[in-house]
Amino acid sequence: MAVLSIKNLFIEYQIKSGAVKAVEDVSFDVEENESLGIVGESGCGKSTLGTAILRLLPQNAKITGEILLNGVNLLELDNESMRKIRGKDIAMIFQDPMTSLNPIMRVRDHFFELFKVHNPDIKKNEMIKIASEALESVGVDPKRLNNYPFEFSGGMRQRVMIALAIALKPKVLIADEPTTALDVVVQEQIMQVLKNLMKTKNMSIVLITHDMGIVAEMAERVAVMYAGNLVELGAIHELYNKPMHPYTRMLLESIPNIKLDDMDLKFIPGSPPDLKNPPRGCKYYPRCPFTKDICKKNDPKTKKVDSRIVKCWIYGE
Amino acid sequence: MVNKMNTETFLKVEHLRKEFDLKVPWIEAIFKHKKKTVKAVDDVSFEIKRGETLGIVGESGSGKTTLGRTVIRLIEPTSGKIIMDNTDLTELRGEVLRRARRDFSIIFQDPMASLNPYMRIGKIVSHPLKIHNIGTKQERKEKILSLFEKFNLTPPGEFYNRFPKYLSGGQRQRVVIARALITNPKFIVADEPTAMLDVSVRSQILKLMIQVKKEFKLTYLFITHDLASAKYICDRIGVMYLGKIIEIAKKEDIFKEPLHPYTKILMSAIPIPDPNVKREKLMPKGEIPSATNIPKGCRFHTRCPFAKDICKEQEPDLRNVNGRLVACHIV
Repeated sequence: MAVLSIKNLFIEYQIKSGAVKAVEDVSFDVEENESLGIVGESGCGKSTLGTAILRLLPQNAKITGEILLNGVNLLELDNESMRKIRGKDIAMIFQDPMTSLNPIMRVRDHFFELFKVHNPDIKKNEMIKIASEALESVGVDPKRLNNYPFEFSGGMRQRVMIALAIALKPKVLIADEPTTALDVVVQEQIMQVLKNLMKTKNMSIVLITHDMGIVAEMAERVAVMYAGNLVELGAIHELYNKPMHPYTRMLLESIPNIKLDDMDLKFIPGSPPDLKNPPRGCKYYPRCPFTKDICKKNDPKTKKVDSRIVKCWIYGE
Repeated sequence: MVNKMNTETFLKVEHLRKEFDLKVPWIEAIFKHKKKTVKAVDDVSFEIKRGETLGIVGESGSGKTTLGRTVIRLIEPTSGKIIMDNTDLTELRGEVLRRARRDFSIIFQDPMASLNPYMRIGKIVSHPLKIHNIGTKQERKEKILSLFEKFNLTPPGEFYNRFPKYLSGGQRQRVVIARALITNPKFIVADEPTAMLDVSVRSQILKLMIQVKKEFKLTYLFITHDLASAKYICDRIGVMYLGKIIEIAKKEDIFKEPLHPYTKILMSAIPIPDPNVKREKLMPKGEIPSATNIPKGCRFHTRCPFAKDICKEQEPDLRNVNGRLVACHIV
């Protein structure tokens, strides 16, 4: 059964000069103990989508659709009930570990704050016990609970962030570019931590990233987003071996693979459209090498082709 | 890319050091003569041939950026020599140094932080020309407009009057590169020029850098932690660890057969965009040690999976192994 299920989600940012359609009609499921990657260029709505699941978007964001966590629609909950769910049933880690911890709070106080939200009567001993376990599971010495964030390196801070996120054993962890600010060796260590957690804690991960290499190593299924639309969704091997949407193909070709000797870099010409004023029809047509007349007129419907979901006119009506 | 130009040494860096002093409680400083220093660059020597691109790779905190900045004297070296075109940059002072600066330039990592948000693009790019008294106002503008045209910042007239905040990340980085090239320098330090950019934009910027390198006959020092970019753009690659270059070789050699254990670890940590490939990963133990407290002996021995007794005692020098330079006892 799907732990998390997104149905026909639309997100619009209301700004002075109009509305920015950041996410348009996105639907997908996250199964139990699964890792789903969400990829795309910057500005395609990946982070908005991830943040919306925890309902952490700013006031000017208008959300419609359904976000079902174990069958409960999060969009219908009041703020207090949502607060109880964040951290406990679903948690998030952010891109920049330098700015997501409070610099004047000790690491243990970050944990204590979280625990008290969910259980005001919790004893200090117990809090220290749970926090220590969480730190241990990500490879940080529990003695460091008394340290301040600045006493940690970037990689260690990201581990602390992960420990905070998983301390209350959420069912779903949303990781928004968890390693983008880190270098390869530390990135690899963090990946190992996340993989271990999936195995031992029976947790699902939604991994938001622009790095196709990380997705290839971490995810079981991949959702490709372009200009707020989900353009392709499929199992990792199938999608990498035989990308169906032209955008997925370009995305895969534009990554330099260091194992190949041929080092000619390809890139996607042009840039993603302005979401305040997107093109009519398929949003990818201005950059697509296979554009037909119909692409310019009508937006393609989301279709199921074999086990894959794809949104492109190439695959028929 | 082996051609005739490649035989002449353009830049020679010898025993370059940069130490930063840290604050010590005054009582210890006076009575115990304690001094704490960060050895950010610790005895680094290398050469770059004219027209060549030397890459410097390594983890964050390995001293790559300090090295890049010290080489063009944005940071004063503690000791060592930087010989560019037969001139020792470390001996230049005041006005002479300032005049020499038109020959070398830097591209910074964060294109937003390196453009003044209150200055229009045209003014930002013409600033170096003004400082070096090159051309009249009109000539400067023409030069900039033609450069914008070349860099695909079109229409150039419109970009000239825009503020940085209206530009995308890729466009901003192209402006930064234009500014670096406007005085026709011979040497560019590129400090992680693509780290803040998207994959597809990253390739565009790398292609642009290769194109202008030929056109302007440039020599690059390319600093990055992204090994894929390094493979694409560099001729030779130096691997830095805690302030020291521990291996330096042609890029083909580094990628095909890394010799130093640290280089091996770096190579195996790169994610491969192919879910069909499963590979053994070599991981270092623990974290990079603090540069205030560099381990005795080989500085990598605390994390090295192959460390032996000698590694704890003796610091290995860069030595020649089959025509490649590597600093390791076990190779």
